[in-house]
Amino acid sequence: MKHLWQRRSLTWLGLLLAFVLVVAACGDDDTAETTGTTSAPAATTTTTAAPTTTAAAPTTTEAAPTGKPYGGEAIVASDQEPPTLNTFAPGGDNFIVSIVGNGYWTGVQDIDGFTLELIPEVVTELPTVANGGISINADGTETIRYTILDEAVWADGTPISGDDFEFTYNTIMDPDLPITRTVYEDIDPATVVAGPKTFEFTLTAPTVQAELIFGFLIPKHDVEGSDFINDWNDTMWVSGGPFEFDQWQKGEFIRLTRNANYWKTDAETGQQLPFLDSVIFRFIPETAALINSFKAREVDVINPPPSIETIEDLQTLESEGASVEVLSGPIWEHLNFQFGDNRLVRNAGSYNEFLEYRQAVAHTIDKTKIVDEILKGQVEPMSSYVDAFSPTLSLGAWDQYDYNPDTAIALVADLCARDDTDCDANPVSTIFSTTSNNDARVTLSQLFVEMFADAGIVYENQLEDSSLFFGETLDFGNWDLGEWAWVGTPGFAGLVSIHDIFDPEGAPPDGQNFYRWGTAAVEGADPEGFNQGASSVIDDNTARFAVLRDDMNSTVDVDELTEIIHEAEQILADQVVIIPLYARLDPGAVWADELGGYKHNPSQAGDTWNIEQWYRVDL
Amino acid sequence: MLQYVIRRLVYGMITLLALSIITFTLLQNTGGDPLDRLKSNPRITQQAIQEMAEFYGLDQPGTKQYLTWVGNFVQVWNYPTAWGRSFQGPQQVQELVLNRLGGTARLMFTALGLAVMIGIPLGIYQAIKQYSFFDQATTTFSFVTFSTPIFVLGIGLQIILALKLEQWTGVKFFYTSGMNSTSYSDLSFGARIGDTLQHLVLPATSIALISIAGYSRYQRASMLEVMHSDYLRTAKAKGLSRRSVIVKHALRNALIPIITLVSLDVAGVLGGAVITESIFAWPGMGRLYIQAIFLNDWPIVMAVVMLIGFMVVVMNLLADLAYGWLDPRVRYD
Amino acid sequence: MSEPLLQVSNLRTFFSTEEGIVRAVDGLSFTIHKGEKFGVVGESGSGKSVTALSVMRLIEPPAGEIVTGEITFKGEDLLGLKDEEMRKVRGGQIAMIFQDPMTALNPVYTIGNQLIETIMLHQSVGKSAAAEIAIQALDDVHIPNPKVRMEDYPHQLSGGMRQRVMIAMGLSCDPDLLIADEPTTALDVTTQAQILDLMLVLTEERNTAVMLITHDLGVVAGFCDNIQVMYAGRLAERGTTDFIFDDTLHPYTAGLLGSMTRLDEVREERLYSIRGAPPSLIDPPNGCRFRSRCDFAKEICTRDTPLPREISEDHWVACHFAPDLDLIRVKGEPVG
Repeated sequence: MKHLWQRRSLTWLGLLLAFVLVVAACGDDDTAETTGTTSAPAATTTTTAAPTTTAAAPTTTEAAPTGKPYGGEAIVASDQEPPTLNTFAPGGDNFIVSIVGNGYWTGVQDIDGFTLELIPEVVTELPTVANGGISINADGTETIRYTILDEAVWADGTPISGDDFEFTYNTIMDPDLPITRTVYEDIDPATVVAGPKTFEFTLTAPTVQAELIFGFLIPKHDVEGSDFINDWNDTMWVSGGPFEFDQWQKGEFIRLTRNANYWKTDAETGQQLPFLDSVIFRFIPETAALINSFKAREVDVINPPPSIETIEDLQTLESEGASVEVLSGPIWEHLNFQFGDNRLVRNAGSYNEFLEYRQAVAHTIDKTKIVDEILKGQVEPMSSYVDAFSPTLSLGAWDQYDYNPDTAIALVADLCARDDTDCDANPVSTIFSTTSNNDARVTLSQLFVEMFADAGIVYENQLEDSSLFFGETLDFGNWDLGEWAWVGTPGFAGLVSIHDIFDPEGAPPDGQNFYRWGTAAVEGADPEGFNQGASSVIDDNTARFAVLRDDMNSTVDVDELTEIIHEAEQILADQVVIIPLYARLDPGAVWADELGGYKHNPSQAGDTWNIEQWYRVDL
Repeated sequence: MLQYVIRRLVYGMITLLALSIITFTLLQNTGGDPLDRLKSNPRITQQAIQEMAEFYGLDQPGTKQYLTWVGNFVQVWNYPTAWGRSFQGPQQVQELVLNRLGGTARLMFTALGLAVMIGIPLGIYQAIKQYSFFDQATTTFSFVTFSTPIFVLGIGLQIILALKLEQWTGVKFFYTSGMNSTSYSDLSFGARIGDTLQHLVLPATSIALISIAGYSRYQRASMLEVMHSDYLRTAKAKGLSRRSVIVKHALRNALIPIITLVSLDVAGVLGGAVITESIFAWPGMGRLYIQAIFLNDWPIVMAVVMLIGFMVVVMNLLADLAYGWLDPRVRYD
Repeated sequence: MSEPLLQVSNLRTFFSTEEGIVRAVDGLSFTIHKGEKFGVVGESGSGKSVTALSVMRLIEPPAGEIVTGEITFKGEDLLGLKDEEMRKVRGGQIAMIFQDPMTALNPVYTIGNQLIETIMLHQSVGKSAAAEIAIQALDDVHIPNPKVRMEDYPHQLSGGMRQRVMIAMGLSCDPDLLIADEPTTALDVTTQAQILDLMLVLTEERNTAVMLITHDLGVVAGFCDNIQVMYAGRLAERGTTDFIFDDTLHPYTAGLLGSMTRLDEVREERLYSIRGAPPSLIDPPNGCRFRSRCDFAKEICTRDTPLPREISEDHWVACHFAPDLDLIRVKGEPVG
């Protein structure tokens, strides 16, 4: 093939274009030979080859008994391109930065794609009170100790040490650098102790948020003395992960090559990781083109936007060797009530302050039907917001509200029988607002029309453009029944911080309790229109929740924390402050007949969380 | 003549200055805050956002920001810092923009070249063969392509020529996306050319098809007008051969109007082709530009707008000089 | 009159349009002799220009086509010539100048260029010799400073000057026949007379025959030996200039005369205008095509097409009633 190509290449310049292209296509096998390590044509090239190898699920951790093959390349396609490679620089918080960075970064923790729990990476274990990694001191401060794995080294052989942790800390805290500091600011600089394989520091106040810090370590010996913000955008410091940064062809791809000094071994076979010779990240902004490049097997892994059409289209490829995994993503949609005065701007007859009404709404909506209509039944409806963070911790507290219009009608009757209501003068009514430029939400609003009619509640849709809804409407609390989404983060840290959105002490504009559940009146005249009275619901539950929320922010013991979160979840469900609906789909697709070891991970870790485990099944 | 060129260049600079002020004002007033992305993240504190604003100079009043920007922008020799930083990351705009020039030029000049080399002769031939089967068939084809949205055309070419053709024949003719294979640097010279073509043909064709349709329609109309002109009848009555009549007397006159069209398209080349670049994952200016617009990344938007503006000024001048060269009725004064 | 130069017989030139076939020239015969000044007069759409273009074989297929007829020039059948041979005739033996001198010259070439092109096409001379001839030709048409003018572009000349250039170009190869299609229509009255004089002088000198096409009888009056009046693609009347003016036989000719301004007459009554408009030439019915506008039309005019008849020697007319009509009231009575 090669000779044929070369002979022809001497004369082809004058030939017709079509002929050239046929020849070029022949020359393509030549391409494969130069990139693959073996003589067999790599499957990344052309091929309509039948999936002769195991069309096994990508979740194969039960690997081939003889060990997994080394070599080959995987191509991951994404619709985004990193604005920088430096996760600490502005724009470095972009999701794609960590998708690529999973290849060469190392740090304290990772998110397991199977359990969505935090797992240790460069340390022996995640510090907890139980294992002694965390201790609460008599003065109320919290000391955290990391023990770094003995074998952990940078790609140039330099051991990963406490100095690297300290250097990372100092870089983040450098006042001249535009870096978001978060919990690091609570570290008392005087308490930092860096050993060869240990690192220790003390936080001024206990917080579970500390479980997420030091996720990315900066190699002191490589980075010290550099211009931190400018030098590391287009290239990367020495790798601590399975691959090393090789090349970034702007607008096209980033190539990583195997880190021969990587310190991890495969848990089952004991083989040194990683298996692949290289990983390519390609950037294909247009969804249709992303799908087509996957269909053409030009890329091995994609994580496309979660439209049902896309997912169903991809699922047709499963017969050809692809594996498509559709999971509940971290973005969860919820229905909610406005408790502030401005709900009356939208619906003068709002009954939001009455528990019977909110319970009636909870029984009115048919989540199963919603999921069937909007997500084509690809995943289950949510029974708690906790599902989006740590499914294992969830009580499923909203399961108490089954879909039952009769119950809803009875609750409305109870509501109208109260002394302080007059349903004749003011019939029970709902005005629903959400963004009009989101198809799923429009469908939702249409489904609601019939559901509320069945429950005998006067119902109206008032949808708005997202710029208005997420602007004025949310800020001022100008809605009656609302619907939007939040993003969940696995681990306790994410779960704890989501409770801020219900914090009775966190009224907008400073806080994020847009529902104004239990919030006090905002003091003083605010020119932007936030000024409003106290919440219409301030009671024992909101008071208790405020206490719980403070407790969870200062508790680090896992068991205690679990208990507090459970109580908080129960209050929010019993009081029907919100109604979690469903999590948006998160599909991941892989040519499983070419690439093994892949496990779709819908968390912010991304699909490349275990990229060191990937291997070519076709070698 | 030289005086004319100098005067035009001076006017051009004034135009560019006005363009920069207008664009800057529009971006400041309608673009939203470049740091909105950060503000919507609850984990980022007010203080952090404030520091970020200082880092980018966004805490300054708009006029001050503009003056700082324009003062730095003109010092293009201060590579790569002259055009400021992108708000999406700390990268230098000059670097980002120049990085895209190669890809954009490769795609757009190929497409434009195809369009000019096919569209103009096609239009001329259609006019010469007016009402023939060829004329009617190609005219219908032009209307169909011209009224097909580029997205549909691009995705259609991608599905048929990249995806299906490979499935039917088992041979890879074209890639769905990218400017080169990732293994490009390992290829032999011949294979590199092949690889380049396998990536270039589809996006260039989808842009060119629409331009061909446009150019041929325009050229056909222009040629027909000339064909029916009195001076062409004179030329025929003189006894000139049909060939001399067309080549000497018709072509030059018929090509004059299309110069404007082509020159503006050349000026627009730097803007890239947003949709085509997205469909074929082409590393061009259009993608950079459109993403910058969505993210209120005004240093990039300004840089691209100014580049296009500069090209428009230059190409307009060149077009006018070409006009003068082709048409003696045009005078510079 | 000497021997015949151009003989056209039974010429039919049709154009196909979306509405139907336009019979622009529909059975026309005439002869032009050597050195003869032959006027062709008619309204627009009467077929006079199409006749000229047919003679030049500049009717463009597929829209236009010479359906039947014979065109003999110096004994040679022009319609039978190969394209290549016909090109030698065009510009060489038959030259043509057009109505609008503003647009008849190619704007992007100098007049020298365009003159030299013509000369080199028909005479085997080099470029510098051709330039000499061109300068002479410009001088002949009284263009001052011809050497300098050679470098001018058409837009730098006035209308009259441009028409002189056209005449120079037409005569540069010493043709036997010059077809002048409304050569003075676009010019002001003074310039008109100058150009006509110039054309007459130059063609007399060279004994060049001229086919002068115009809608204005006044233009041909002092110029032509013979005049052919055309109506709706057919002959109305043909004869010597004297016959046409003083012994008018066709009501249409009479109408034209009535509507004409004559420099040598003072009119007191209102100018006459022929009522109505020319008929459509798409599928015209049988009968006289002028009948709907004719004051004398009778039933026979609807039924029978009047064929050209020779009423007196070399005086032809296509009217059923000629020479028995009293056409004075149409022409108007000369006074003074």
